[in-house]
Amino acid sequence: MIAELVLATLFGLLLLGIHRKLIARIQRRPGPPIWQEILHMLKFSFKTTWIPVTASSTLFVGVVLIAIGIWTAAFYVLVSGGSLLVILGIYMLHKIVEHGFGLSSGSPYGKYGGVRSVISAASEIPLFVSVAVIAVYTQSLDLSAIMHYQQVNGPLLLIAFPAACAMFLVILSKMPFGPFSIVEAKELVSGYKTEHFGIWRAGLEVCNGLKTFVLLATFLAVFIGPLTLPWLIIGMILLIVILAFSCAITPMMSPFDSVTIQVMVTGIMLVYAAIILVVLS
Amino acid sequence: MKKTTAARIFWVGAVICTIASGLYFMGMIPLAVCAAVLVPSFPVTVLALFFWWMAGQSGGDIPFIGY
Repeated sequence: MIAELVLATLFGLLLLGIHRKLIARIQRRPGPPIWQEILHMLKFSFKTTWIPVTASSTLFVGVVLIAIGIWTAAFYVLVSGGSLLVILGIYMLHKIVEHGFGLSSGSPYGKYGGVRSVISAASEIPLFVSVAVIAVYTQSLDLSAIMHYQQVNGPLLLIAFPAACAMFLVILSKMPFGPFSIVEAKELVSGYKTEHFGIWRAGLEVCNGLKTFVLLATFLAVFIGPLTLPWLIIGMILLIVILAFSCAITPMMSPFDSVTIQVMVTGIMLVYAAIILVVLS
Repeated sequence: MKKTTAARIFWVGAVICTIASGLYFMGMIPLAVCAAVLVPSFPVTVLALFFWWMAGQSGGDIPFIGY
């Protein structure tokens, strides 16, 4: 299983590289090679590393271990077909980790990045409604049961398309260079990651690769159903292409606009969930 | 951290991860036990590997004095 974990991390980083390359090509820039994110991880792991004197050293180091650890756990929940709620719980835990990254450094850029991470928690509210709709249809929140439901009834992407859109929005809010990437806005230098450099940033890159793999694979499992490995890879690449187009053609929003849109989506999703409940009951 | 210490932590972590994966592969432990071993050991192993590469080359600190 360690081999699968390492391969998932590297493939997740490759997907982020494809995402970056596509954004560049759409914007008529040459862009970096698609393996750039893997090179980034290796590059940071060779750079000089220390802990700033203003940092809380325990939290500064511990948060990197926790970031990799929680997505390792999410990977195994996904592989075992466990509860979707656990994966979503880990997704929310990641917000706390981002906050921890920002607060531990003692840098104002990091702190503002951490604060924005808390603000962007608004993106999780559509997720709750999306999960509720899935539960109404499948009568379960176990990934294995959700996939079995789709084998019998067809993909939830067609049955509950608005729920898929809401979850897509949640994944979009986690992608770099996206309209909702307010935690990494340039006015904050690198946001919550500003002071984590060298080995710490390399560890964060490992976390990002694993997170990307888990989120995309979860989306496919929940809305397409069980897929063989080649189809899973094709599906994830297609999903990253759609995400890249979404990121490339939309500017980064201000924190206020970002939260406003996500709250509006939540409102629409609540109305949709209410209609589904009335129709199915 | 000394280079040899980082190397030892990495090798111990790598052996633990490999043994857990091997036991799961042979059906001797369930996935949950394998995951319970890998979740704490994988991050430590990864950072220890990076430290092993980097140990002995760390520079001094530059205190942040912006506020």
